[in-house]
Amino acid sequence: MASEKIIKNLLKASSVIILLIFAGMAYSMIKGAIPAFKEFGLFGFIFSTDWNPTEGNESYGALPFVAGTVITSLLALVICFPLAFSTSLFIAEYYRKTKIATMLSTLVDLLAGVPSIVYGLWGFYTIRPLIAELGYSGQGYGIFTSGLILAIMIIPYATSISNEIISMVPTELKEAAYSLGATRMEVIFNVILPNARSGLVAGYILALGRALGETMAVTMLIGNANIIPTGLFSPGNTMASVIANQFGEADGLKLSSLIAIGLLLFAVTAAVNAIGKVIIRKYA
Amino acid sequence: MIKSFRKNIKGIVIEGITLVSALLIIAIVIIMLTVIIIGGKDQLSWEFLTSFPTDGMTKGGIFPAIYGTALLVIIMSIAAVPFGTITAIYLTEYAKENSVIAKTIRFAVRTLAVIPSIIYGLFGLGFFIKFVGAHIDGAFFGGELKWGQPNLLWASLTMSLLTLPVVIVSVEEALKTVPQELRAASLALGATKWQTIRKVVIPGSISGIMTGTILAVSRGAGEVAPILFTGAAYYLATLPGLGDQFMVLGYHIYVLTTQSANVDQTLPIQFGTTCVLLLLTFILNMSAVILRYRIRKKKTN
Repeated sequence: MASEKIIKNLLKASSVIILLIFAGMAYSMIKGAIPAFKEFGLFGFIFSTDWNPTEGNESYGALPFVAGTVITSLLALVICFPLAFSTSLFIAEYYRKTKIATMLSTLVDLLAGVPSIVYGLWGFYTIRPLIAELGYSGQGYGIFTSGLILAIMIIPYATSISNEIISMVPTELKEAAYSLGATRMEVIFNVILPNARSGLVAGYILALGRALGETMAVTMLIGNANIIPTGLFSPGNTMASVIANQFGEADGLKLSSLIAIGLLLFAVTAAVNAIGKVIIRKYA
Repeated sequence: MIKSFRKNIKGIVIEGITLVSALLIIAIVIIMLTVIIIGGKDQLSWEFLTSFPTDGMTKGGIFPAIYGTALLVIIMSIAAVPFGTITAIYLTEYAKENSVIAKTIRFAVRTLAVIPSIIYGLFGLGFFIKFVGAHIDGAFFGGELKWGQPNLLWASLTMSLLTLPVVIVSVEEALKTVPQELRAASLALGATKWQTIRKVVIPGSISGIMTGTILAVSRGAGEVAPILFTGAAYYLATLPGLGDQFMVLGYHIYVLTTQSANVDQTLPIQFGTTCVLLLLTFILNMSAVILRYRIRKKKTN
């Protein structure tokens, strides 16, 4: 049985490599970010609005990007929520187990597999000119354009999680309510929603986590202005897109600042997802 | 009477709203597909797929980008699939559900699955290129810059980290569909645990491993953020090897749209490339959906 043991340990060893990768990622990000945090201070860096790469006057702060990320993602969530929620009522309740519901949920799943860059291109040539045409912003770049495309991108995640949660509500409960004379609407509001609420909240938190880290589509649409957005149609920048735009030619303090922004993004997405998972595990 | 009538109206309105949202989502998909297909359909030809770009990227084909994408996903799969499968086997067959190590590995996998793709790009540059590559150069090439710069190998390995959780999750799901009775029967016949895994468990979950691979390939073919700094290039006159930068479909779309000097002239190529990428991911995802459907069906039988 010696060989059995060797195999087990080999499998174990290669599984542990995942942990090493994870630790390596955390370590290299923290190490890379330290010069920026040392120079500006942890809070000084997070709350500063400067982004000045002029030599001698270098000063970097993360606030414009944190603001851009949070605002676009929340906007995406606000747009996505009614659409995804009522679609999942359609799929998982009104037309449950019909052909059209299966087709729709397959379509939604396929939508989840469309690469970010494709949404980016579509947004660039369809939504951006539309916003410009409507006269909201000169060339159509900005917070709203990015938020809208992000909303479309997270609809698949939000919808399929809502589907699962809604279809998990026990049939007995629904039947009991119907047998007491409740209408379908009353069943939805008094049985399904209260039972599915925490699961739905968790699902939308996970969708938010997706939106926070989206890079390519947002980079193409947000306008890449390193300022705190001044309005719904103002250009801005997100944490992911400033990295995508500037990391390639960055060095020294700027490089470290970009890595520090990456570390913040890493921490924020991990935290948001952890909260979502905890809620799911606790209630669902 | 009146009250129940009102209730009815409200109920119908709400059902109507769900119908409208469903239609809206279908409409978004149709509009998106139409815009992309109309923009790109005139480009799609055998020549477009098999020739190099010419005239400053405004004419010609996208062959190097297709070639680069293919190599990228192949090398990525070679790294991610066996490794992901091994981890999944260890987690489901060997590790005790509540042991510290299994819990920690699961935590790492879950976290890796949600880390934004751009962070993988940062890590790939910092680890593979500036650390591993630079050390290889220092040790074997006398410090001459060879592996310490962006190339196909490092980009593929970065992408394999991104797709590793995808593989692990799919394979784990498939392993769990193999009935415990089969394992017990095999062990009762005197087979060792490893023999059981090799002859019973893995064959029984091969479709899950395939689903995981397909999903990983589809993800890897479309992601751009992780390869921005680890190897993707704007234009190359020759086909790449492991140590070269390379062209890739997604990045091709990105640079042509945002960074080319004459955006309007490259417009048809942008849409044509997007058509190709979209078609590729649709085919891959569709086959994954079908495979997974078959696994689920097997599970319920």
